[in-house]
Parts: sequence; C-alpha cells; structure tokens
Amino acid sequence: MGIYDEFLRRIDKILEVEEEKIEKVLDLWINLKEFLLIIRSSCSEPKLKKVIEEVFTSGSRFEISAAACSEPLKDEWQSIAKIDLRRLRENLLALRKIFEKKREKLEEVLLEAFAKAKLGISPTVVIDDLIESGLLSKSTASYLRLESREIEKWKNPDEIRRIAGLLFQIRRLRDAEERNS
Amino acid sequence: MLSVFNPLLLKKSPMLVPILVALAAVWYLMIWILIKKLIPKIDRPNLKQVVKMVERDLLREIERRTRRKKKYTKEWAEAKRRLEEIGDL
Repeated sequence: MGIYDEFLRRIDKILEVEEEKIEKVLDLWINLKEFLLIIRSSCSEPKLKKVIEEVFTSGSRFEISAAACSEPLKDEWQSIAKIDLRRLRENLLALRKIFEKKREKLEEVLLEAFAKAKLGISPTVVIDDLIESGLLSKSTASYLRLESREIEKWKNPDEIRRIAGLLFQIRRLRDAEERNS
Repeated sequence: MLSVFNPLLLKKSPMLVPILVALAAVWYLMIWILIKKLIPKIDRPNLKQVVKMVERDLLREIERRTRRKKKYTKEWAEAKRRLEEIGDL
C-alpha cells in the first residue's frame, strides 16, 4: 500500500464506520486532516480547491458537534453530530471521486510532504511506493521487501525521508520529460 | 542382527524410542535454525546497507535522466557527488 492508497484508505475508513461511533470518526477525521492540509496548501485548481474547502467546513462543523457530545444535552448534540457527519461524508465522497483521477499528482504532493517531514506516516507506506515504482534493481527491491518489518520499527525515519525526496525528484524529472516530448 | 525395531531390544531398553525421537527432533531443529535463521543472515545485507542500495539505485536514475542536460546541470552534479560518496563510481 503506497502513500496514495494510504490517503484513500483514511477517507474510506470515515465513509465505512458506523455513524453511532462519533468519537472514533472524530479520530479518523483528525488523521485525515493531516493529509488534506498538505493537499490544500499545494492545490491550484479552483474546482478542487472548492471541494477541499467544503470538506474542511463540514469537517470543522462535525468536530464542534462531536466534541460537544460529552456535555449536557448529549442526545441532541449526538443527532447534530450525525447530521454533520453525513454532510462530511458526502463531501469526502466527492473529493475521493476527484482524486481517483489524480493519482500521480497526489502521490507527488504527499511524497514531497513526507520527505520534508510534514507528514507523519509509517515509512513502510513509502517503501511500498518505492518497490512499485520499478526504479529499483530486482535484488534491491527484494532486500527492501525483506527488511520492511525492520523499517516499521524505526523511530527516526530520516533516511527513508531522504529516499522519498529522491523518488519525488525522479517523478518531477519524469513529468518534465513527458511535458517536453 | 539386532535392529532398533527389534522388539527384544525395545523390551530391554524401553527408553530407546523416546531417545531416538528426541535425537531426531534436535536434528530437525538444528537444520531448521540453520536454514531459516543463520543462512539468510550471512547472505543478506543489513538494513543500513539496503537503504544505501536503494539510494544508489535512485541516484543512478537521477544521474541518467539529468545527464548532458543544460537545465539540470546542478541536479546531475549533486547526484554524481552523492553516488561517489556512496562509493558507486
């Protein structure tokens, strides 16, 4: 599972979880927000920007109502939170559909963020991208696959960040070559 | 000739079968440790070496893509420098 799949997986989790589990959805939303903030800051397309803003608006409404669920009037807040969650899900679904067609671009943005330590994800996610990229020799790819469990235990993935930076650089070069040809 | 499967022998020393089974189990375990644990460790590079190998492959790709391109002179020089640092060239 690469960095792009990890992003879609986080959206899917919110779409799939039961709406009664407000606290769980709140955690999932906060996990997803990390990705969305990065995508928003690098996004230049007006249409996409609008959808992302809608996701953020519905997301912050849901955050407020979900946080209020532990206070008095719990039942009322819970029903409001459920309504907000439905709106958030609708917007996330729209966003997911757009991103299904933008895999390459999104991968680049997320890789760059990971390389610059702006994205806190497991290094194994990037390892999968590396193996699937076809840029490694067969022996390197197989050794990397064997070591992926060890890489998961790394607390300071600086070396993986450096590699992600190189992968990002190659993607940029490839894009430039495609544009020129 | 007395074989281990001879009932007479088994009667004389009833511990023979468990001892043989235990010996076979120890033998099997030693072979298993050798194949699964020791041999892969001898042959396989460690994690740091694997990361270096990955870095080398990626840098080679960058060097190849930027070679003889005026626009990417800096990138090419940097990739070459790092490859030399790793000990590739």
